[in-house]
Amino acid sequence: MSNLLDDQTPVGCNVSRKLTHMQLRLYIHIGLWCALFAVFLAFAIPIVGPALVENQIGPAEVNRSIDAYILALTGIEHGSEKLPDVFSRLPKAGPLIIVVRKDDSQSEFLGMMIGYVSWPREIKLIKLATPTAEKELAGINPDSISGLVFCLVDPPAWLGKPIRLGSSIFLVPLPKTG
Amino acid sequence: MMTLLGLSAAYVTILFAGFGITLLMFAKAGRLNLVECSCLSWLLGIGAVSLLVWLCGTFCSGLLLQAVVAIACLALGISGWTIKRKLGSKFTLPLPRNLIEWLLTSLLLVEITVFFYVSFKHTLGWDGLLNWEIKARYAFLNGGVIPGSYYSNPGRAFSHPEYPLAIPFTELWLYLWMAEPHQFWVKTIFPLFYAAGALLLALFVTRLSTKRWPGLIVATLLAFVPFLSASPGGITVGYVDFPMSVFYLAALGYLLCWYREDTVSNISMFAGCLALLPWIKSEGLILWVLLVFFGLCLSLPKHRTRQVTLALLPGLFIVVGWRLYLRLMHTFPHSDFAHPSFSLLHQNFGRLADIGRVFSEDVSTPVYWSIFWLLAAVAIGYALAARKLEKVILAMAVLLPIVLYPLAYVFSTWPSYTAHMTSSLPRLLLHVVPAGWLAIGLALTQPKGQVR
Repeated sequence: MSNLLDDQTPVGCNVSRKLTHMQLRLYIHIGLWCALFAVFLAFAIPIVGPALVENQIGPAEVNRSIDAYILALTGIEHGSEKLPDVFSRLPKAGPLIIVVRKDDSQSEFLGMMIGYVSWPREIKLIKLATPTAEKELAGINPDSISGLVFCLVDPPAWLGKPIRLGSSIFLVPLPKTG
Repeated sequence: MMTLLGLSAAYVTILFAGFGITLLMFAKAGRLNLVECSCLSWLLGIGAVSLLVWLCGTFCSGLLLQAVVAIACLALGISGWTIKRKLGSKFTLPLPRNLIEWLLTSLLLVEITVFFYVSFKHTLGWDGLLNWEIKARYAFLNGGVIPGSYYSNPGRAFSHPEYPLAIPFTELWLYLWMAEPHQFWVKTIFPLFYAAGALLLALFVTRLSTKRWPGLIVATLLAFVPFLSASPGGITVGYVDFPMSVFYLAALGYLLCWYREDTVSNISMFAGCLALLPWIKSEGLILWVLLVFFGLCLSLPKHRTRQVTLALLPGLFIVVGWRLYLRLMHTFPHSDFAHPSFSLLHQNFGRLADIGRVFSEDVSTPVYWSIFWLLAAVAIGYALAARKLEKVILAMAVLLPIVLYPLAYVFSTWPSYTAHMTSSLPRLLLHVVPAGWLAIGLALTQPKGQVR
């Protein structure tokens, strides 16, 4: 009997030690994930919460997105209709030249918006690295284009009187446009 | 009123086509999980409709194109239903079984509703408008087909004509049915991706861990990643990165399910979701290659390499077909990345330090991620410690894209490659977020003995 007890005691101890060890691991596991999730939510909720409540629904209009951007950038309301209407009066042949300022995200974005709404007209984007457009525009043949749009760029005086389409956008129709 | 009727018809046709394909793939399963079928109906539906509009658009346009695609959608739905009835499969709706599950499910449904509500409050984001919606609008104005001049006009290269058409042509399908390019209603497609992604995430964790609560926990926490719900590149602004992450999760999830349970439905669904990855965004090709590699790794011990090889074929056809199409259209080449070469790699090797710095700054930005990447890192540690092939593959599926994406900026052609990284890397990392939650969900339930 005593031999039997002697044999079983270390085994029983081992099993109990293993169980305690596993329980400890389980508690660490649960504690770790609870803490991680708590920190995750503590950082996330102050960022996500306000973002969800900002702005209001609508308006449920067809050109909701493009009109909102054009309005913000140029002050033109319903720009998705007004701008194509202006461009439709330009000669059909030749690309529309869109002049933007390089590394100016607002100017570049406005140029792309003009490219978007001027479809199906062919366009050409010119990115200016210098404050004036003299050098880049000098090589353009006026007969080969339908017009020039300047986005947050002042058109050079020698091109003639520009038409202001919005707060930061000018159209220079070519003489043949009338 | 007519706009909403058209919108409903567009959704019905998409879901009908997707439902048909899902039933065709799951017909032999016997029991069909209704939640799973609904999620897959959306994912496979948008894949089928966008591919049909693209392919049929090469020989017809206008009302005829719309009619042909709609008939094909109905035919898919009817075929699926017929097969399902023939094989006697039954639908089941898994309902919550206790208070915790009811609470988590309710929270998840509230989150889905909130995303619909929030998406109506925002406009499309810059890329959502100028890279994706622009294609839908131009195609709509041309009877459902993008004119050849769009691809070859260098002036509109800013809108990336080379990007694939899954999302633009889903938007186009809505436009065709609404009979106007309605930018307000078109945004409804993006919360649907969130719904499908969150529900599939819950389903995969449940299926792979055999416990439902961790799946529901991670599915409800998904919405709290700030970049998803509160940033210019998230769910509500019309970008394709979250949809892509859902397809990646679905493909990965079915691959792991297939490893556990070798069924035709699992491998077919893996093939379907895998094929659509490069059709969502060009970067999907990287994820496609990785998943093919993971598939081959998992197939070797099961001696099922042939099945995985067959599964990669649909995606291969789409990749090759799209490349060929772009070449035929004389697409103006994109210029964000140079063609990779060893000489360029050698030349730009010095960028690696900056890339590493920008990457570490990015992943540790709480405004974008809270501490999500720390959670993912711990989960990866758990997965690797488990020393099981499928867990190692899961860890790699989260880790490898995170490593490969920043390395791509070695070939960036932007004057400032760090600016290029700052503007686009968070969106690329988003592709891995649901897969990261899958790893987290499975780490939560790691058997006690395996917690090392």
